[in-house]
Amino acid sequence: MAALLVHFATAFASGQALRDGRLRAVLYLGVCLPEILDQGLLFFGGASPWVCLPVHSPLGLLPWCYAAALLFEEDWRARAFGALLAGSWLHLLVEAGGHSMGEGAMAWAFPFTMDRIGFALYRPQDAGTMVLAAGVVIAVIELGAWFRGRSRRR
Amino acid sequence: MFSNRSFAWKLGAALGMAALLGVHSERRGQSTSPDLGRCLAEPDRWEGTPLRLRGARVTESDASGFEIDVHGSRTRVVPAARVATGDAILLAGTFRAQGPFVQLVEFRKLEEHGEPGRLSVIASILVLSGVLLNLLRHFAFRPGVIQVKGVEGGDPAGTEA
Repeated sequence: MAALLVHFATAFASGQALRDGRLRAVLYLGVCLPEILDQGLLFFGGASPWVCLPVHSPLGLLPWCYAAALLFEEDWRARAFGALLAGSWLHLLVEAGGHSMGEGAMAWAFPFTMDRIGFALYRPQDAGTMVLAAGVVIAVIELGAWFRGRSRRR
Repeated sequence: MFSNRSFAWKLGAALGMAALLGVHSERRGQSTSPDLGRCLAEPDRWEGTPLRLRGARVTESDASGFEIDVHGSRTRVVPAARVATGDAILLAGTFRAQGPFVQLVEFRKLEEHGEPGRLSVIASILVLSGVLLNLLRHFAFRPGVIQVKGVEGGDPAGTEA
């Protein structure tokens, strides 16, 4: 499991392509959603790991994102749903890159199959490096935005 | 699909669907890879089943193996590994009815890699708080109507993060 900061950094970087700051805010929420649901069900709901599996699958996230999108004002729901789903799937993509002891990190076609896929691109030992890299990515983007704003003001 | 018509039904259906998927996953998961408690209750039935035990705690360790406790279910794991009493581990193995015991395939100490180390948890809470605060900058939550409305005079140009 990658740290939440790593997930946030991926959304922060890709969110720069969005012009609407509100949409970006929802995208950031979306990238945290699978973890919020997983930890919420596991620790606060006392659910078994199997119950939590759908929130780390592309199709299993659909009803959660739809329910969350319904909490936005009517005009915003379709956009909120899209941003939440894009953020959530981005989370899954990063998770699928992790090493999860040969089992695979993402139930890619749940509920049709319980098979999981994983690319084993990084190991738990890399967590510190990844967090550092995430911090650098965020800092570089923020610095870039600051310099662009400064040159525009001149 | 996103209109206010039959709002409560849509919300209920979405949450109901999410719950059904959870139940479906539990049933299918337990039938193929049950938790340790079920394996110990019916060892012969689950002989050779691959297990992945999350949140196992080492209760005893010696030269031939070690013992783990997973949510109240205890069993022996062989062969021995570099673990000490009190270690929290994530373990992949195969259940063996003769014993019964778990044949170790792979394991990982959780605290060793800061998972879920205290620092990692604190950092995650900080990130989540930042994300929620950023959301509240752009949207106002009105529980009375169970809807969230875009803040007037917000930042539609997206100049802010």
